[in-house]
Amino acid sequence: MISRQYRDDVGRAAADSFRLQVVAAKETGTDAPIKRIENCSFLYTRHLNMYFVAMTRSNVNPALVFEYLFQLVKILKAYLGEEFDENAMRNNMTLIYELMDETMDFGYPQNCAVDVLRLYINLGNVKPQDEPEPSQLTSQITGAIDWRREGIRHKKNEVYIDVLESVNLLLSSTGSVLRNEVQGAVQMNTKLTGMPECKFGLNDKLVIDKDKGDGKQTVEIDDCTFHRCVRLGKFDADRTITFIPPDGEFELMHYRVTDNINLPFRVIPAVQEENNMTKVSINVKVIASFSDQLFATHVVIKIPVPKNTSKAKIKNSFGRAKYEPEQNAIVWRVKRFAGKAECIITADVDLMPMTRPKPWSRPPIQLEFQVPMFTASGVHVRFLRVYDKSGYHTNRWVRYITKAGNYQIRI
Amino acid sequence: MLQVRSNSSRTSACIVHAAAPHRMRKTPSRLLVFKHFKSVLIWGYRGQLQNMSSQARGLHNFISELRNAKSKEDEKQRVDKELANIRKQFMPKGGKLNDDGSNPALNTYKRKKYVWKLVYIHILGYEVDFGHPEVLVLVRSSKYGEKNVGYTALSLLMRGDDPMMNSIRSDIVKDLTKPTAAGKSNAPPDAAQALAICAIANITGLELIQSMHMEVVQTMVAKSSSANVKKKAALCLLRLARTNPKLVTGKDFVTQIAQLLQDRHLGVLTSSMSLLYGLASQAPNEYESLIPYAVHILGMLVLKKACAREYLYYRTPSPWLQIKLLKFLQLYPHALAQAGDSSTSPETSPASGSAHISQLTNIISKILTETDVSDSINKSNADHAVLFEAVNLIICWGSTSQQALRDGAMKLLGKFISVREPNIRYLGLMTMAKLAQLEGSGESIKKHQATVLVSLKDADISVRRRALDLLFVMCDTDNAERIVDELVAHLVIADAAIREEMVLKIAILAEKYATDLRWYVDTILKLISISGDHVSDAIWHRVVQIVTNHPQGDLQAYTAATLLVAASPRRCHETTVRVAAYILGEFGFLIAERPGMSGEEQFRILHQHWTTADPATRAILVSSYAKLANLYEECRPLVAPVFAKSMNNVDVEIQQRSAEYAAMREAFSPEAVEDLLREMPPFEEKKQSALEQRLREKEGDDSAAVVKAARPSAAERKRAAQSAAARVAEETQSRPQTADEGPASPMRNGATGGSIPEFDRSQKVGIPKEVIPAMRKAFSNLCTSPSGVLFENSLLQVGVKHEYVGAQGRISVFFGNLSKAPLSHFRADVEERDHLKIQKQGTQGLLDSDENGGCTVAVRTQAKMLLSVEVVAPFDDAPAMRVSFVTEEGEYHEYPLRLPIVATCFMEPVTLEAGAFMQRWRSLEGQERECQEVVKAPPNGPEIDEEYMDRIASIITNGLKFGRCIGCDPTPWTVSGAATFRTAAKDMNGNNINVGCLVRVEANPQAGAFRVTTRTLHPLCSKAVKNVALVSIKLA
Repeated sequence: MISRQYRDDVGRAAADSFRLQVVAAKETGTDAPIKRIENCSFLYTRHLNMYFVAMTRSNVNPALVFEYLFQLVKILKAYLGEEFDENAMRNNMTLIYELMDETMDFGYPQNCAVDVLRLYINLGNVKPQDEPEPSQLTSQITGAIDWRREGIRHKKNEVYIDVLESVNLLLSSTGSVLRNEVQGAVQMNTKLTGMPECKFGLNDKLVIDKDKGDGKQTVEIDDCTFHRCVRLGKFDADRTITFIPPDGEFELMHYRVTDNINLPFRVIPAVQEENNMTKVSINVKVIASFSDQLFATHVVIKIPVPKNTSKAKIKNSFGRAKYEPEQNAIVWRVKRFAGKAECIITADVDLMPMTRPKPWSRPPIQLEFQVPMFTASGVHVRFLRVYDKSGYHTNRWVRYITKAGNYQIRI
Repeated sequence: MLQVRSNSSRTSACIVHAAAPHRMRKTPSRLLVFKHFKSVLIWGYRGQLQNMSSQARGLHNFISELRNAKSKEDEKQRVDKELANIRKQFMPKGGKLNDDGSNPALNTYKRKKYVWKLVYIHILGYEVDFGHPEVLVLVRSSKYGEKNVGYTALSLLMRGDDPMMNSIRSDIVKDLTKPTAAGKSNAPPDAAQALAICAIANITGLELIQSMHMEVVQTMVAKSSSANVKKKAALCLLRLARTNPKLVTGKDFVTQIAQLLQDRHLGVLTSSMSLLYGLASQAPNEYESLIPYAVHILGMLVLKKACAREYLYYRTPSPWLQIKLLKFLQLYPHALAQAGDSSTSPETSPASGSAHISQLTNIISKILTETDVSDSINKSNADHAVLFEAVNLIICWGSTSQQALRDGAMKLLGKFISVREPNIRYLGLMTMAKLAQLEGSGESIKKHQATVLVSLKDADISVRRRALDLLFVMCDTDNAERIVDELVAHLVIADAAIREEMVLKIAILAEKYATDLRWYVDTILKLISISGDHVSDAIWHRVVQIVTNHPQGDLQAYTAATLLVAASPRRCHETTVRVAAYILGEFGFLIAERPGMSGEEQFRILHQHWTTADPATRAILVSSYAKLANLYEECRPLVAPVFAKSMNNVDVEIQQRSAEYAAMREAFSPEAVEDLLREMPPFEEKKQSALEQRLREKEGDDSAAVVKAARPSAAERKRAAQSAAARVAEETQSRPQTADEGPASPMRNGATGGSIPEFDRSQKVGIPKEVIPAMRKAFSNLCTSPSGVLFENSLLQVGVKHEYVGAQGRISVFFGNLSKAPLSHFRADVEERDHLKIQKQGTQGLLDSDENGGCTVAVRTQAKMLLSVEVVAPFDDAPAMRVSFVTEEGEYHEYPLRLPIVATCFMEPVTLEAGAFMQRWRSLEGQERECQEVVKAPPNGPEIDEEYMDRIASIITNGLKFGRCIGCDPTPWTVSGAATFRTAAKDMNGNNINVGCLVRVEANPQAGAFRVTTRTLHPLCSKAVKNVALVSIKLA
């Protein structure tokens, strides 16, 4: 659709062979994302039904190429909308060429920061209010901090911190844990004046231990990834997270925790097949194990039933429960589930005799929920300090939410 | 494409489909909806579903909701919801079911409605695995409406092996056998029977088939059955027989079919012919006696035009039946020949035999003469379908049919291939290709050559393919050149889809019918220049093979010169470069004398393509350069930098080739290099060329072209005979030349002239006494060193190089001629032993066991033998080798030698701690396992001091390949070592058997003596190690 050649060693005709061998084969998902055709390497990724392909004849670092391709898709998403399609691409041909020229030069990736690109490339529709001086422009693009421009002003200096966690759990039918982990992310929304330097602290075990901690609960974080504004050198040296934040929303870090997880819900299932597979009796107890000052919202418990269910008699203490044939499950919804509460559901399911009897596969019970102000990993924000030359005061807002990821209990 | 094209298959397909719908269980598709609903219509109860759906609003709404579903997910959700609803409906409120599992509370209307829904859901592709009791209730019902729904659901939802099929089987049989059970509805009396037959045909499963086919057969032949039922029963039986071919055998069935074939009803006849054709194509012999019936029916249709009005299709009497009859007759290609001498067969009386055959000939000629291109498309379609089948029948009979018939057919086809209608032309070309295979039809076909060539330019590619096929088939030595030229000319404008096929076929034709191979080479070159991308490797490989295998005449020189010219332009096709590179490398020297074609020039022309060539081509170029450099001194400085640069090439093949070629001159003698780079020997003549194989892959075994290609042409045979004769002549002339020498060697025609020279074997000369001590020493030396001279006298030098990995070793033995005359009948014979597996390889003739065989070793050259050995068991001696040869004076020499393959060669050093060594040393104590011997140091050698002991130690570690065990020698006067003896023999667990060996040498400096002690698990091993150690110490 669109192609840009940064060097002369690959011709446009190569696109044809890619089209014939990869696009026409329709085998994405099973094939490797790198294919060598006639001495030319094709590295590709996909967005909707469009392929983003990088071609090279030389021996390149594939990780670099893919990172560039992903960044390019991200940039295009930022410019053309999350779900941009072929038509959007066609209609913005010039913009895309401009972006391609700006982000890559002679085969070397250049500035891929959306915020900065936005300053210079806007198709001439909108002129930036404060057009920077040419000298500034160069330092902006080539400088160390390309994610934040100078001279930002806010009346109120505020920082919002959201700690979002999702819990993955897989319990076997005997109650032993097969998989258990928390994936978390720290999202920030900064509205700060100038070029402030921020210092951020979690109750990470390594840091606390070094500070000869104050006896509070600490968490062992398995691995974490930072936004590129974080100074990794400093983090490696003394585990402090310092950074000059971009303006607006961004994800500061994400992390994974696998030890000492506080499971928000315990489920005790009893599912029995009776009378030679003509009936199934179900008894499920759900216990909220978090503090009684908190509560969970949007709790959905899906209890699977066999496909040939003809009728289900359900008794439940609160919430609403119903047999939903589309899901092949009894779906039990509770809007507000208080901490330390216990709920029980019982159901008698009548089955239809089958033409060719097959055993039931007994899929797992699935849970969905949201618990605000609770972190399954126990992570909490210890401090966020903002240093700026002018020394203004900053308001900080912290919020925690734990959601269910893949929360499954086998029966 | 084909189906649409062929009238005959279109019409017959329609008939088959209407009567016995094939159905795939696993993937019901929307198409099935049509099929099934169509079969409902064909039963004659039109509008049943429409009625049903108009009555059942629920069903109607459900179907329209599903059709309006926006996405696949929507549809699935709706279906799941409906299935849940149906389950609820089928389950009574109180939970009490009838004995058969159905819900008593359900009324007929609802039951029908829900079962229809289930059927619809099933044919949409969703799994339906309940509701069978309700289906059975419907089948058992006496009302036609319910029965209809029941049987439809039964044949779609059930399988023959489902458990509840047993309970319903008797009900089906009842419906099948009682024609008037259909109750008081206004449906015809045989409706239930028809339903049952359809259900049987559609439900798969062997058990059901086996239990019911007898009833079906009875229904089919029963007098009481209506024509409709008979028709269905025949098709049902055909389907059953397809599932289980052994179900019906000819013996008992011929009479029943014969009875059916006498039926008056054309519909019954058509169905029975379908059945008969189906059965007969599986076992033609069993149904041969039915030919007269078929001929009779055909006669009725064609000659008498006796046909009911409803079976006239545009005034053609039942073309479907005619086609079936003709197809059936095609199964018996020898019918005519047999009829000629039918007096020998007792079953048919000669009179009737020849009568029906002559009738058949009449019929066919009538079909041929009466058919005409008519205005009405439908009419001509039907007529042509019959006509083509008739022509096929004639082709089937082959030369047994009358010449007039064949001529008639050819004339008709000639007419067809010139009409404008592409369908007819397509069929005409295809049939003509088949007809052309018959002997003697070649001449008449050639008349149409021009017409066929026109078809080659048709707008429709499938017609062009057929034309190409026909041209390929009709090609022979006379018209080959013209056809090939036409094809080549056409190739320029042919589009890509057909090019590859054309190129392949042209290549085959050119090879097959080339009277002058130069023409062949030119043609292929033309192909490459026109359409190089489609010239596969196989094609140019074939050129190389042919050129190499035909040294007669100036073919090789001509090819080399032509290719040089072809490769001269800066831009030419990759394939041209490849062929040119190969051919110039091989035969470039033949044209080197010509102006502008010197070796240097050749190199320059080839090398201009270097930068643009792909790796495969470059690899070929590298080899050619090596050959050019070998032949022309002046090329060497040109080639060397190319090799030097390519040694770092990314492509491994190029890298290896250039590295090897570059190093070759230093590594080997000039003769060896010469030998390596001389021209290739002729290729083996394979039974089937790669091109023919390609053709077969593309077109399948039975295409006319493949059959044609497999048959050798006259030109080919002539060529093969020529080259065979030339080869024989050559071999008798110069048998010894094939031995070993490069072409430049002056000794080439030296030693013998084919006759066995006179010499006396009894007067053999052995090893001269004076060399024996030196020989012993050389042997001992070789036991511990990787290479050296094993034997040397004034005539012969034997060198050995050996290396070992684990239980395997590679030994190269070189026999160098040191005399001033060649040594003839040179043979080396290595003794085979049980404990060593030896694989031999060597200069041709060297390993001959025949005394008169052997090779000739020219002056200052070497014969070479390569042995790979694998040790199977411990041993303590060295294998013997007998070298024999005859000198120019006729002296017969025979030297018994030993190869230095001893036990220690297969040792692998083991490093042991002192403690571990001593522990093992002690555990191996005992008579059998220990070997000890004392040896005096050489009398006039140096004193035994520490330096001397170091040498002993290095012999143990380097020569004997033992690991030194430091620390267990308390004094400097002992050396201890350990090693493992590797064998390739396997123990019971499949592991290799290894023997651990320990050795200890103790010196006594005062006495000037050494004591060697070996301890191993195997007595032979101990002995062997001790012997080698002793010998080596003596030498040290």
